[in-house]
Amino acid sequence: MHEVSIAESLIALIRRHLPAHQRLVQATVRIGPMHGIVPEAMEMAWNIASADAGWKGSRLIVMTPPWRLRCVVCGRCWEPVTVDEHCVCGAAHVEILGGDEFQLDSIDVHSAAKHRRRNTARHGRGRPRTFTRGVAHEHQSSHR
Amino acid sequence: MSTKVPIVENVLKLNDELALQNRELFQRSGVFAVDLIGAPGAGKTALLEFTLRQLKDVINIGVIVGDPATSRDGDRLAKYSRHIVQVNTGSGCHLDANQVRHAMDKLKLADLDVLIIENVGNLICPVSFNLGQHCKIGMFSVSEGDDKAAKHPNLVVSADLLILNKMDLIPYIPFDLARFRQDVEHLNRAAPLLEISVVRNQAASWLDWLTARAGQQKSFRKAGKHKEKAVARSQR
Ligand SMILES: Nc1nc2c(ncn2[C@@H]2O[C@H](COP(=O)(O)OP(=O)(O)OP(=O)(O)O)[C@@H](O)[C@H]2O)c(=O)[nH]1
Ligand SMILES: [Mg+2]
Ligand SMILES: [Zn+2]
Repeated sequence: MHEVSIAESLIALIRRHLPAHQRLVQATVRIGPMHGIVPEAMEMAWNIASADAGWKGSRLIVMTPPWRLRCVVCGRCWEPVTVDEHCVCGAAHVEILGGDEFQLDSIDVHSAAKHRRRNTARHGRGRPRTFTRGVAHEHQSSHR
Repeated sequence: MSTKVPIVENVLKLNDELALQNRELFQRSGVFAVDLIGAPGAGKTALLEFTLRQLKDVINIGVIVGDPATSRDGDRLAKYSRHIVQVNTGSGCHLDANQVRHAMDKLKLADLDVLIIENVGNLICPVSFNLGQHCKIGMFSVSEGDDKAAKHPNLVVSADLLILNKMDLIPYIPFDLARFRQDVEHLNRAAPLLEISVVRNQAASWLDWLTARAGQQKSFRKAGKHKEKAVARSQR
């Protein structure tokens, strides 16, 4: 359920930024593991919510940056697999540098008018071109 | 060819904007507002029943309580205070700033010192949604297991206060208290961890924390009022 409400919030935010007479092609979000978002579930949620919003065929790119911690004792920075990992120096207190991201990075838009013209030329009628539905996720793996 | 439009804004920016409006209303009425987040059954409502009972003659407390269904928690609390609003979220797994705003409209904020928002029982989703509260409280309980703080870093990191309830169960349940404390410390050393047992009425540390913070909020407001008056005088 979490993902559905996130998708709806995203759509409301994108509406605010979508230039007039432009069609949404793709939105790119950056969500760290802190927020417990499952990219696959986000994909499902986006497909449903974006179709409801009239953006059927638009794509959501979910970037998943890794955890990045800094040890407050020795200052070491590293990318742990899980956030409960302690520093090699034995200290048990960290500062979170990355992994808590939760932002809409950018949107890719296309002129709605131009698109229609091109379609007409190609197909000889004003049928809207179908786009691949769904989401691509680029997992930025947490290489250590 | 498509054009890329850079944005870089919080995904929940619209919710944040509403939360800011809620916060302004709290400030204006001198209400100290907290968001109480914990798993289903952690004892959130039990803690509020205890709190309303204990502080009946000390401070005026209002509660907004969110549950997927029923008014059971609201009914439990209504025995102790008339400033109770039950919100049903249906399939929604958290309260958002807009729901809280609507619930606030049913309360007389001016009559309150403290507003406690009992969020829907859930350790994940409620954490991301700012409600306009002054403080976020993360509540765990012994019966959930000693690994819950480590498994829910977002709540631990963003909490201003952490509570571990059902300490009376420690003798009966394998629960590594040192481990739990260490997990909390690992991510958040600033937030106090209060270990309480609501059924045993052992939660004095919580009552102290709440009354102290409510008092601070009131004096801020008074200081603000004095300042406003002084400004008004100087402008006369
Ligand atoms: N042993 C023990 N049980 C407790 C304590 N506090 C609460 N409980 C019990 O835990 C159960 C759940 O308490 P609630 O107050 O309803 O929990 P909640 O967090 O409000 O639950 P939801 O609103 O459903 O998310 C009840 O049966 C309480 O009596 C405690 O300190 N010790
Ligand atoms: Mg409850
Ligand atoms: Zn270190």
